[in-house]
Amino acid sequence: MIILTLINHVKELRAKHGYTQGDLAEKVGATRQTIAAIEKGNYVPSLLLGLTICDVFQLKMEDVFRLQKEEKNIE
Amino acid sequence: MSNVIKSYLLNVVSLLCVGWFLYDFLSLNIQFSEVMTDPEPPWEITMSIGSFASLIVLLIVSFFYYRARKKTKNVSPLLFPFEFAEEDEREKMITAEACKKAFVFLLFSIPIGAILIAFYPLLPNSFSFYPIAVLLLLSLVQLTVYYVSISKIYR
Repeated sequence: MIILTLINHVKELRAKHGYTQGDLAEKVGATRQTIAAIEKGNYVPSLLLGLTICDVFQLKMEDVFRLQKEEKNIE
Repeated sequence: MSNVIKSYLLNVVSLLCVGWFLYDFLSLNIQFSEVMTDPEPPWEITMSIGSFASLIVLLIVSFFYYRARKKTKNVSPLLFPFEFAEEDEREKMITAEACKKAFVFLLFSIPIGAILIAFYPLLPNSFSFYPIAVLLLLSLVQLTVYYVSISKIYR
């Protein structure tokens, strides 16, 4: 079985740009809690929100989000 | 105190006030039914004003809280003090999950409530409030299921 996980660099990019969670939340039209959940990996954003975040950082999708595939053997 | 907790507490207090008022209203109707069996004067029926006053106080408190909430959020006056958290996609998703849980809870609890009400004839006459208490209890647990579920928003 393959387990898919979305890895993101939102926290690093946000720190690099000097934004607080609240600043980024305001720019992308989400709540601060949602940005915190994305950074912790507790919430997978929709394509629209993901692209909006990329637009704020002016980066391509693959520079912000990465798909991690993990193979797990179930016996 | 977060808005979720405030909204939950206001809902619980509303339920308690409605329950208290219904208790008094029920006893008023019981007295009235006794009068109907023997309408010859003199007769009197009484009702405590405390429960009615508590409803009025609750309405005033709710009105001011509603006005304060409306400044920051689009709150429906029809549903108030009940609130849906739908500020962004994650909140909408959590709210949808909470509604699903509350619906599933009702699916199981209504038949259980109906079974509990079926025991009503076995109870002493003094416990005439029993069916209303069962319905209010179901409502209270449903609210709790919903609010515990949406409290995830702030975790």
